[in-house]
Amino acid sequence: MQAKFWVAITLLFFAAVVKAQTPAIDSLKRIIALDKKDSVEVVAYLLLESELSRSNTIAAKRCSFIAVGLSRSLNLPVQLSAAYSELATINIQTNQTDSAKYYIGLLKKLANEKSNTPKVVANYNTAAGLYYRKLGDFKSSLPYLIECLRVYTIMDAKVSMAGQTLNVGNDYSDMGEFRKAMTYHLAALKQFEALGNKRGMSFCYSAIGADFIQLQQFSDAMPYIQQSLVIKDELKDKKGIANGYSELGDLEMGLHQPDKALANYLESLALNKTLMLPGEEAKADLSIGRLYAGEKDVSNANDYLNRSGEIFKRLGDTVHLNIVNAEEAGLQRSFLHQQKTEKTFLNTLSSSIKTGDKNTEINNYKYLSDFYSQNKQYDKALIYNEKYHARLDSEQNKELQLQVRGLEQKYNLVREEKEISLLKKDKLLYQVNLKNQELFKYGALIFLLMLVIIAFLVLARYRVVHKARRLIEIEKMRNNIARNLHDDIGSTLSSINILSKVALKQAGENKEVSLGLERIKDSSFTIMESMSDIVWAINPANDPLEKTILKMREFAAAILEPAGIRFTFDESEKLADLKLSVDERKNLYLIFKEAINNIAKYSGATLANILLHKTGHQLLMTIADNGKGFDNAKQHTGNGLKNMRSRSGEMKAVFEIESSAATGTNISLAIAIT
Amino acid sequence: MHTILLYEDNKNLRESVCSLLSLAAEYEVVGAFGDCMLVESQVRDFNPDVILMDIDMPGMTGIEAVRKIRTFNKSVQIIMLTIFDDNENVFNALYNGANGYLLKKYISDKLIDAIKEILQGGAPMSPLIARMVVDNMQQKQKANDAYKLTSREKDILLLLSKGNSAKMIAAALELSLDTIRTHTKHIYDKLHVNSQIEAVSKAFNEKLV
Repeated sequence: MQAKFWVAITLLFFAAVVKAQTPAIDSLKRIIALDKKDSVEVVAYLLLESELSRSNTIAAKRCSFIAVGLSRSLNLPVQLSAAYSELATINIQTNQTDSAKYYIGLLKKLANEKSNTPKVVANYNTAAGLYYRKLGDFKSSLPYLIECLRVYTIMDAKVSMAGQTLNVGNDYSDMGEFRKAMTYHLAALKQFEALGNKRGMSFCYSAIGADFIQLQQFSDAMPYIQQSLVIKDELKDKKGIANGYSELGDLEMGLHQPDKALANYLESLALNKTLMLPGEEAKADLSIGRLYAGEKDVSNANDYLNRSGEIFKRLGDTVHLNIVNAEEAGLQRSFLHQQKTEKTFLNTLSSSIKTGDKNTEINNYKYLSDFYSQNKQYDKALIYNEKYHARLDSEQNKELQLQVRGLEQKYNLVREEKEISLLKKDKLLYQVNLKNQELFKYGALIFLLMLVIIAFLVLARYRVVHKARRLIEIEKMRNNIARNLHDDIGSTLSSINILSKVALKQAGENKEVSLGLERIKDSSFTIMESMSDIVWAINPANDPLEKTILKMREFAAAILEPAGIRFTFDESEKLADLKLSVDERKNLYLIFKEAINNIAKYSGATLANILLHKTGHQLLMTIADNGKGFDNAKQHTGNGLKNMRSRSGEMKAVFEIESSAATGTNISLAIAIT
Repeated sequence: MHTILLYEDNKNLRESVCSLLSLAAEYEVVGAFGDCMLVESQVRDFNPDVILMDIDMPGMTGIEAVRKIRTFNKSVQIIMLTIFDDNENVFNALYNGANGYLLKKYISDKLIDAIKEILQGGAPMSPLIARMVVDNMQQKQKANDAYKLTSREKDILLLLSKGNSAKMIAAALELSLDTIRTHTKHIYDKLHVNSQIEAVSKAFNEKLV
C-alpha cells in the first residue's frame, strides 16, 4: 500500500516537472495569450520560435508564420526580416533548401528596400550565409557571414556579434582552415561568456571541440565537448545534445575506442530520430557505418551506410551522399577483395582434393583458417584449423613433430630471451632502486640536519628574545619607579610651593617672613621647572629639532606676551629634521629660556627678534632686543650670564653678547653640528 | 558658592590644595580623596560643581574615573592635575570628557583662575592639546570631517599646534581674541561630542552597553 503511494507521488512529480517546460516559454505564452496584436506580441512569437526550434520544429515554424503575418499588418520591417530569417534558418536545418531559398529571396528584397535599417540587412546576410553553408558552398557563404558580422559590430549588438563570430568560425572550419576557425570560435566563446549566454557558450565549446578533433588533438577536444554537453543538458537543448553525442563518438574514434564511440553514436541516432531531424539521423548512420567498416564488420557497415545513403538521397543532400558513396565503395572494395581471396582459396582447395594434392589441400586449410581468423569469422576459421590439424596429424606426423619441436624451441628461445631481458630489467630496476634508496637516505640525513640547525636557531632566537624581553621588563620597572618617584617629588614640591604662597598671603606685614616665604616659593617653582625640562629633554620623542623649536616658541609667547613685548620668531627651512644630542638640546633650550626671561624681567624692551638658522656646519641662534642693555642690569643677571656661558661651553658652542644702552642687547649662540 | 571634589594621592599636595582653596570664599572643597575607587558614589552623593582629578593614582587611573563619571554626569566640570605635560594621558583624559588640565607646578599661581574660567565655560586649548588633536585626526585617517570642524576652526587648530598663542593667532587671522576663544571652545566641544559618540560605539562593540 505504501509503495503504491510513493510511486504515485513520484509520477506526479515528474509529470509536474515535464509540464513546466522552461519558465521562458511559459511567460512568452502568457504574453501571446494577451492577444494585444502589437509589436510586443510579434517579438514574443519570434522569441518563442527561437526557444522551440531546438525541440519542436513544427510548432516553431507555426510561430514564425504568425510573426510574419503580424509584422506585415503592423508594418514592422525589422521584425518581418527576423521572422523570414527564422523561417529560412529552420528550413535549412530540416533540409528543405527550396523553401529556405524562397525566404532568402524575400529577405533580399526587404534588405534592398530597407538598406538603411542595419538589422534587416543583418538578418538577410545571416540567412544567406547559412543557406550556402547548407549547400556545402562554404566559399560563397563566407562573404555573407563576414558582412553580417560587420553590421552587427557597427550596431554593437553584442549577442548577434557573438553568434556571427561563431558562424564565421564554423565556415572556416568547414573549409579546412582550422587555425582561423579556432581563432573565431575562441573569440565567440569569450563574447558569449561576457554576456553570460549559456546557449552560445555551448555552441562554442562544441565548435572548438570539433576543431581539435579535426586537428587530431583528441585529448584537447575532450573537455570542450564534455563542457558543451553539460550546458546543453542544463538548457535542455536536445538537438545540441544529439550533436554532442555525435562529437563524443568522433572523439572516441580518434582515441581508438570504438566500443565507446558506438554507444555515443547510437545515442545520437536515437535522439535525432525523436527530434525528427532526418539530416542528423543520416549523419549518425554514416558515422556508425564508418565505424563498422573500420572494424571490418562488413554486413553491419553496409546496413548503416545504406540507410544513411537513402536518407541523404531523399533529402537531396548531395554533399553527404557523396561521402556515403565513397565509404561504400571503400567497403565494397575490401569486401570484394575479401570475396576474391576467399574464392581463390576455396577453388584451390577443392581442386587439390580432386587431384589428391594432399600438400596443397593441407596448406589451403591453413590459408583459409588464417583468412577467416583475420576476418573475424572465427567459426569458419576453427573448422579449417581442425581440418588442417587432423590432416596433418595423419599424414605428416614426423614433419609435424619436427615443426612442433622447432616451434617449441623457438618458443623456448623466445621465452628465454624474454626471461633474460626481464632479468636484465630487474637488475636495472634493482640498481635504480638502490640508487634511489641511497638518495633517499642522503635526503633524509640532510633533512634531519636541517631540522637540527633550525631547532638550534629557534632556540637561540628564543633565548635572545627572552633575554631582550627580560631586559625590557627590567627597563619598564625602572621607568615605573622613576616615574612614581618623579610624581611624588613633583607633587610634594608643588605642595611646598602652594603652602608658601598661602603662607605669604597670611604673612601680611611681616617683611622678613614674606621674604623667606617668597624665596621658598621661587626656589620650589624653579626646581619644578628644571625637573620638567629635564624630563622633556631626555624623551627621545623630542629628538628632532622641530620639537625644541616648538617648545621655544610657546615659551617665548608665554613669557613675552604678558610682559607686553612684541616679538618675531623666525627659523630657516632646513632646520626641522636636524637632530641634536640630549645635552645640546637641553642646553640650547635653557640658554634660550634664560635670555627670554632676562628680556622680560630686566630689559625694558618693547620688541624682540629671535632667529634660528643653519649656516654651513653650524646652528645659529640670535636673540636681539631693543632694551636698555646689560650694563645697567648687571647685578641681576650675573648668575644668569654665567650659566649661559657655562652651558654653551659644555657643548663646545660659541656664545657672544653685544649690549649697550643705545642698541639694546644681541645674544648669539653657534652650535657646531655634523 | 561652588563645591569642589579633589582626588590626589599625594597627601601633602592634597592638604595644600585644600589650604589654597580655603583662601577663596566662593569655592568650598567638600571632599578630598586619595584614590578614586568609590568615585561614582562619591560624585553622586556630593554632586560637586568642579572636580580636580589627579591622573596617576593607584588602582583606578584618573582617566577611567573621568569616563565613569561621564556616564551619569555630563555637567560637572573636571580639571585634570598632572606633572607631565607631553603625556598622551592628558589627551585621553580630555577625550574622555575632562574639561581642562593644569600642571601641578602652576597650581599655586593658576588654580583659582582655572576654576573660575572653567565655570564660565572657558575651554583651555593649549598648543600641546591642539597638536594632539591634530595628530589624532591624522591617525584616524578619516577625512578631515573627523570632528566636523569648520575651515576656520581647522586653521586655528593648526596655528595653535604650531606653537602660536591665542593672541598671535588673532593677529594672524585678523580676528578678535574673543572670537578665537569662542572658536577654541567649539573645537573642544566637538572633540567631546566626537569622543562621546566614539565612546558609545566603542562600548557597543565591547558589549559594555
